Amino acid sequence: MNNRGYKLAFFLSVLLHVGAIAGLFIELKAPNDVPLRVENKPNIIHAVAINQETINAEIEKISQQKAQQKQAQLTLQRELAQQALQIKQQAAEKIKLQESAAKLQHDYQQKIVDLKKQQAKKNQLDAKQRHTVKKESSKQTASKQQQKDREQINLAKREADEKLLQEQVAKEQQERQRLRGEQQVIEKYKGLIVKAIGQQWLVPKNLDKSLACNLLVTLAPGGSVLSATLIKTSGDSVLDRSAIAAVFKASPLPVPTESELFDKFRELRLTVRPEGFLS
Amino acid sequence: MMVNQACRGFLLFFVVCFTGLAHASLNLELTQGIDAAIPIAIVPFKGNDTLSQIIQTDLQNSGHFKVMAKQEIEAFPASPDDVNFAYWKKTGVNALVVGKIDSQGDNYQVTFSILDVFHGSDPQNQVTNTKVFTVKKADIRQLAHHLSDLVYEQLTGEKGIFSTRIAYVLIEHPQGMPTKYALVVADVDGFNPKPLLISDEPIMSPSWSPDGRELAYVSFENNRAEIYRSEVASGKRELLTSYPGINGAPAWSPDGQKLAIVLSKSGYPKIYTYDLSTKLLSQITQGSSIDTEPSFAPDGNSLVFTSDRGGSPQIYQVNLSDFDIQRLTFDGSYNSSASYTSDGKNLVLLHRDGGLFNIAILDLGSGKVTNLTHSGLSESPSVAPNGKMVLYGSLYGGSGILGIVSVDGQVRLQLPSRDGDVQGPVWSPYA
Repeated sequence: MNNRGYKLAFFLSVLLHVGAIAGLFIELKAPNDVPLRVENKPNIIHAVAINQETINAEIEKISQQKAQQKQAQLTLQRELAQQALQIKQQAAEKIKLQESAAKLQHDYQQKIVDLKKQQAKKNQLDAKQRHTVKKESSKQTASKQQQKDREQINLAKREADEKLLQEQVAKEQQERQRLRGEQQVIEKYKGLIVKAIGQQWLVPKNLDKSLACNLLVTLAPGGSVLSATLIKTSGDSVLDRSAIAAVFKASPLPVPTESELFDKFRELRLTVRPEGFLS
Repeated sequence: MMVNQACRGFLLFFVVCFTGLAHASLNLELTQGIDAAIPIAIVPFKGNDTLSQIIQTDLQNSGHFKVMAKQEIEAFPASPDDVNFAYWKKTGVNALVVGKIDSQGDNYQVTFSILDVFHGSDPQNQVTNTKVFTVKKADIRQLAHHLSDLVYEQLTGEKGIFSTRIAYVLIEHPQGMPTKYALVVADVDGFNPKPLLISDEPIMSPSWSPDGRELAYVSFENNRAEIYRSEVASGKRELLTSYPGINGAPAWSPDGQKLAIVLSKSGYPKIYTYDLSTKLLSQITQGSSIDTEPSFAPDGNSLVFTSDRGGSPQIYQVNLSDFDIQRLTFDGSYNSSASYTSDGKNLVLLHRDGGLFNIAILDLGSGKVTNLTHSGLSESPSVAPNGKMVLYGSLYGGSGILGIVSVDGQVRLQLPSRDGDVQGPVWSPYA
């Protein structure tokens, strides 16, 4: 129950209380009510000579009368008081009733308010619940949807993965083929290079098959020999020099034109071993 | 810790880089080349052309070099500094010989360089052989041959034979005069012939001592066959054998201590060894066959000789310790005049095939006989000290001339002819 509800309730309560209290001060004219009048008539007493007895009697009588009167008055007062009390009581009761009625009403209204509040609350809750439910359901549907989506996504993902895998496999195959193809191209050019150098290589006459030298050859794009350095001598300087001369004389060496492939040919390690002659 | 990791990272990076680099070069193997002459240019020496001409002839005749024709040369450097390697690379020569000659009174001062055309551009790798010589003007040919040897050795790894000599017998028939015989020593190219002995009687079968200073030979100057030795430089000579009958075919042992000779004093021509210090004879072969033309094996432990003990002249080998005899030739009905190549693996001999006498080479391992000459008129083969060339006599235009053929049959030369017949040529050992 929110603050505003409280405030309203409180205000109404106060109002009702004030009203009730005010009501208490209002004279209620019931149909059978004897109007309570306090006669403010001055008591005019007619003086007569009386004997003592008589006076006494009279006094007694008067006293009795007075007493009676008093009594009557008292009774009357009492009655009046009672009546007043009754009235008061009635009034009080009325007030009470009113109060209770008011209270009831108040309660009722409160209840209404409460109910309203409750209702509101309920509504809110409901709404909330509904909202939550909605949310939930929407969540659920959402989640269901999500799940569905997820499943779809998963499926799509799986499909995509498979596709990717397939693509990868295909790619790898392609790559392997390309590499094989590339390898073939490389082998081809290696063969061409060896042949080109061989055709320029004057094998020393003292053919010693057990000797070998190693050269490091660097090439520029297009196959021009930039350098041919002896990295391991065969022990026979004539063989070493014949190999170096052959490399330079064969320049430019046949190399692939495609730059990526050519890069593999930038540096060659050539082992030269006199085994025989090109046929 | 971060630094540690960073360091590790760098190390890994570098390792990968280097291994990457190590694998970045392709490996190739070259095992077959060509069997061709080395292209070379001999730039005419500044000051005098003779030297370069001689070198050019020597190298071209060796069969191992293809010398660039003089008329094709367009640059004339005289020293390594003048050499424009770019030009020479274009000519296709592998090596270059440059030099200059200064006349200094009776002498020549010769500066000479051998350059590798394909190393030249990198000064560190430049292989240059610059030498300075001072020679008497008369000895200019000798120097030229020496330079040829230097070039040959540097570019083939083998010893050159351009400073070796030959000896032969020259038979002259001057008009209306008796025949003259001369034992001649000349440069290997036939130039500078100098008679060691001149006689009216035949001179035969010269043989060089292993040190190249002496010749043993047969002379009939006393109207009988006698074996002499003569010192080439001084002409000083000594009579060695004068036995009755044949004294012939002297052959020096590799250690220079003995001669193998042929004597017929026992009744048949037999092989003997004659000790030069003790003068003692040792009979090597026996029997009733004709045994002649002995020649020592390079290790001195055996001889080959020609014998008809099998019915026709064939080559036999005799072991000098146990006198065990083996026949070596089975191809053809006539094989004679055998001598070993310096590696002991082949015999060079005279081989008759259907009436044609040709110089042939016998591979002792396979038994295969291959003809080196084909004219059918050859005789007296003598192997060069490098075992690669054969000097022989041939009949050409009715005259005896000398020829040189390489053992692979590719080089064929004819020496300048003389007035007269040239016979019995022998190739000297290395100088």
